[in-house]
Amino acid sequence: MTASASLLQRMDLQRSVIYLGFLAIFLFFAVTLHDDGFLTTRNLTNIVLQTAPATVMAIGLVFALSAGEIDLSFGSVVAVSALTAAVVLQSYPLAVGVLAGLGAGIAIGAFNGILVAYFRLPSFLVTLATMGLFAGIARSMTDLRSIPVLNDTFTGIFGSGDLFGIPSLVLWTIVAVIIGHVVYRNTRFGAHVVATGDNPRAAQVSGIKVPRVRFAVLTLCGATAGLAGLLYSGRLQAAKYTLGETDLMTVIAAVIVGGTALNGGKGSIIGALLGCLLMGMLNNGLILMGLEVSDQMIVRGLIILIAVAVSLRDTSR
Amino acid sequence: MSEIQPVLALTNIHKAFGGVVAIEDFSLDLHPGEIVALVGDNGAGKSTLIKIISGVYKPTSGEICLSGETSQFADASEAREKGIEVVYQDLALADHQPVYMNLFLGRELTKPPFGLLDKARMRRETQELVDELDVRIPSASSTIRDLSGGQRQGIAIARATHWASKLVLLDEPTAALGVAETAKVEELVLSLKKKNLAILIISHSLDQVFRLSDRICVLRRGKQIGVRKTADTDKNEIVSMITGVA
Ligand SMILES: Nc1ncnc2c1ncn2[C@@H]1O[C@H](COP(=O)(O)OP(=O)(O)O)[C@@H](O)[C@H]1O
Ligand SMILES: [Mg+2]
Repeated sequence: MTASASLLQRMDLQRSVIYLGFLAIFLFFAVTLHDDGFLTTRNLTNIVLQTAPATVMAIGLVFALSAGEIDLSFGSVVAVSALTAAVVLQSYPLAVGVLAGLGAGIAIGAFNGILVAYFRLPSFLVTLATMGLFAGIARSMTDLRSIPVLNDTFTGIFGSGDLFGIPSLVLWTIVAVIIGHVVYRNTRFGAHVVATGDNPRAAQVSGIKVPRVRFAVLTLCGATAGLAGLLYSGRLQAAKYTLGETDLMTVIAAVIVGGTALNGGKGSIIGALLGCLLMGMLNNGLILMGLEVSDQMIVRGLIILIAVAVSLRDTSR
Repeated sequence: MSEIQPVLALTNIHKAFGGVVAIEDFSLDLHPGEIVALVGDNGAGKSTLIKIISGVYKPTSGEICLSGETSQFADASEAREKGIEVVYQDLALADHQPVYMNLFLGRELTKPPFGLLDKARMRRETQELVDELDVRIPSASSTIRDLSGGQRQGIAIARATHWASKLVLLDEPTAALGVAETAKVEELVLSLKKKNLAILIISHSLDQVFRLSDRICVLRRGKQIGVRKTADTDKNEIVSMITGVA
């Protein structure tokens, strides 16, 4: 068995769907929107910056789906954690605000996780309920008001700042993707996550602590949504209950298009990144094309439908 | 009975699920390098017995001795740590994962300094193992679901071989296989015997039972009807023991 042959085998077709789709849409916009500035460094960077929170959330979701679970509540978690951070930052220093925002996300994730892993409730229903619950809590937290974030260090780290000339949101994306990828592909935890989603009984009799894995992936989803909340409030320099509201469909679609199976056992962090960038490109391109918001939604919905259909077709082979 | 210590000694095992008695008063010794076949009709309690030995179920009463030590397994992974491996009727393989990850499922190898998975070593050891057992698969990196039923069962048995130090339990390992694949699996079972492991195999095929086993143990509706040396019995006797019709 030569190294190149085994490499070829591991690069299964499914994964290439996202690469091809990504390339196709990129080329399409590059040609049709050339005069509208699609290809400018500024515009392309913007796409990455706007995608950063979605990418971070997508990483959590890849783990959850791979373990055979789902999280529908992450959009609401974004709002709660962003508002928590913003409110706390009004009277406390940076670290406290960050910990409070992240902590809120982790706590909600752990709450989902306990109900799913130890009370054996289906994650679809649990997170459907907590999605509504925490959307409501986000609204009532500040009576629908937007809370400004005036802490410059915070908005620098989680928003407009940069390190060695690299925008901080790009750095967050890179760091999150690398850590996510390595944990997913190269640790025992990652292996246990996919095994749990693939065949829970096999995982169980092989000594994998299945409930612990389920708890962990849902908590991780809370954590990544919490971080996404910080990134939103850092970039927008404000927090509002609407943050994360529209991310549910985009992130799930991005992850599925990126080669993660809806029913567990299989996923890709790099695929999810590309899926998110693809969704970002789509948003950006449709705006540059000058479509009305309603038309954007329709076109985006249709493209997502096609993309998901193509990637799922391939999975069921 | 041989004088050497049995690998496994079951004494007066009893198991009830609520009001349903699945096993009543079962006793059996298993010796190293011995294949014992467990036969009986559907619902006789064969699978239940295997699950009791492998720690999935706790017996309602009775004693399990492993190499002379009384054992109480909290769960299946504890039994595995003690050197008991099971090849399940419905394969306990993760379909979307490569062969080597299945072989090391729950016992993945890692390497310093970061404790990351040592995939190269798992792949290599898997390849060596399947080569040694002559399980013909495209490669250690093949995905399970791309393999045939026989190849999958081969992997399940290879996994048991790799990890078992004492005892291998097989629950109808050839139930879903064709003729050639069955022959291959039987070969694998015999190779386990050569490694001096004790083997308890459930099978519905009396031909197979007579080909493989040293002794045959018959269960009927949870009752232990008897144990025969394979060399000293014939199909007629076993059939009448299974059915209760003389
Ligand atoms: N988990 C369980 N709960 C209740 N009854 C069970 C359970 N497992 C097995 N049984 C019962 O125990 C008996 C023996 O089943 P089983 O061991 O699967 O038989 P076999 O493998 O010989 O076909 C059957 O009557 C079955 O219904
Ligand atoms: Mg059975």
